[in-house]
Amino acid sequence: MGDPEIHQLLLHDPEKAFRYTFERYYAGLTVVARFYLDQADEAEDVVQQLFMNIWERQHLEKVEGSIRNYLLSAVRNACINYIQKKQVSEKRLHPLPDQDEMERAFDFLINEEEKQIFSSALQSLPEQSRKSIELVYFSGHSYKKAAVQLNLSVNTLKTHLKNGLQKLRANETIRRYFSEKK
Amino acid sequence: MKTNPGEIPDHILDLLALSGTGKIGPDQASQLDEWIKAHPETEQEYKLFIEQMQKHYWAHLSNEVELKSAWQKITDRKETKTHKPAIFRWIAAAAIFILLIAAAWYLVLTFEQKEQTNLADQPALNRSNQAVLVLSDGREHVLGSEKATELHEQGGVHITDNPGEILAYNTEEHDGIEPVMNRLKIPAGARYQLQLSDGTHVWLNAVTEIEYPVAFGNDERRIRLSGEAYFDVHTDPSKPFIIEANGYEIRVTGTSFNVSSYQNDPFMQTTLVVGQVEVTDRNGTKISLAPGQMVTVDNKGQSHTVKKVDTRFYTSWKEGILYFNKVTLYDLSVKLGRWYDADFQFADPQKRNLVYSGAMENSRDIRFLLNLIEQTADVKFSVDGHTVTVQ
Repeated sequence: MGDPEIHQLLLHDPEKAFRYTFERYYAGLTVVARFYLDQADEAEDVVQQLFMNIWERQHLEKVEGSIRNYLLSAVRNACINYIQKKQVSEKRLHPLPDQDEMERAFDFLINEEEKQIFSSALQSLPEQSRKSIELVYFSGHSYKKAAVQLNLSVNTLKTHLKNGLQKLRANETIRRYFSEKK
Repeated sequence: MKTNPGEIPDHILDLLALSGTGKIGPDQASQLDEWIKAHPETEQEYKLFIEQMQKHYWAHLSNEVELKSAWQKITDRKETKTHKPAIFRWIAAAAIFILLIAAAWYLVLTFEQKEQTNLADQPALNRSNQAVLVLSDGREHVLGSEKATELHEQGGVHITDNPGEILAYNTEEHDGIEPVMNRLKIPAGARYQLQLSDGTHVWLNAVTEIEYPVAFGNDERRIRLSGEAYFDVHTDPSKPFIIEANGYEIRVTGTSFNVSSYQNDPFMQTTLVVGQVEVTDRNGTKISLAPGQMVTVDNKGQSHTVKKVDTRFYTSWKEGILYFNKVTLYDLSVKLGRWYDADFQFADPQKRNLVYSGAMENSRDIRFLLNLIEQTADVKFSVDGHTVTVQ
């Protein structure tokens, strides 16, 4: 289901169109919001509120151009407004993220097929390697903290990381993906 | 360590993975930079691997999102809005509302107290600077009246200074009206809006001067600009709208765009939001822009660059919001200086190169932003009258 189908659906079943929009875009929008907000729950709150507003004010019906563009700028505005309020209460300047990178992430995530290639490659790793990679690179834990959590020595953890990264790099599907893209 | 082309040692792979997911520390980043400089032959390989890790990370974040419970929350709230809330829900909502009001009140109070003590320490910086209209005979009018005021120009042209800082020229038939020139001067610390006789709407930023005829002739609409302005040009393909700015010409028929051309900036920038724009530089070279693009023309070398930008960063000033994306403290100080009528002095020249991103409303006192910046970096500001010293 893409944007043209959603536009079509809006004409006779706005509720269904809203549901499809949610399914297609919600996760991607949440990740985009994570570019602005450190906490996952803050990001989800902002995006949920955004969907609420879209529903109540019938915004989708009013979108003339691409729904992707509309949602991307809507989530950006919502995050910037949120940050502005936060800046006031915390008296701290929250930096804004790299726009190009954020847009690349969004387009990648609304393409189910591409997303699947990268999740499957990660899932195909031995469990310990995958968990080590998730803790160290995705959650940003130190080697030590990750090792404690997995009940491993730091050296064993490093071996799992090393093997995991080399395997990801050698993954055939991903190699093909990159060579086709070029 | 010697490596074959394409081969990346394990410890570098580790750093690349950290870099791809944004978890790399400054020391690690410089270690990685050094290695990359020493091994240019692996550039393709490490770029690909960074991109690969980014994509694993994004996919992972997205998979962690629980669609089911999110949808549940959204539909729950959707229902409370569309149906009459049950009495218990109503009571709960009322209780939360009261709590929120109490919390907000508390925040406002503590915040105001803080600001007041700050203000008491130092004299206010915001001067009441007002825009001035210069009529064709040289008479000057200070603008910004609270109720609509009529001003008279020769030949029966009606000019109205409206509340909300909008100066408007009548848009009726102009045949026979002599196209005498008017000038609008916006000082530091002020902004104004202008509606030209053809219906074009112009937002003028601080430290800006614009010169225009009270009515346009039949072949073109030509005006002069020094400073920064956002234009919403009334569409009229038969009469191109031309802006002369510091030796450049910007030509359009109907479109929305921003022009920043300060004489003391080393460049002129035009950012196109909607429509089509053609910029001609001093050598006669023509540059066409597509929506979302910005051209920067270097005032000295006559070189120019066109790039895709988030236009909000360059146009939000007209809504009274200042966004800045990775700008140096020096560039930021130039903008703030115009907005708040302040002179920034760098006691420590090194501090000019600190880089910031953020957003703030123009209605706030400048010290609010300066405080925020002080708390995020090793920099101190002291305000004395209109001078801000950076240490």
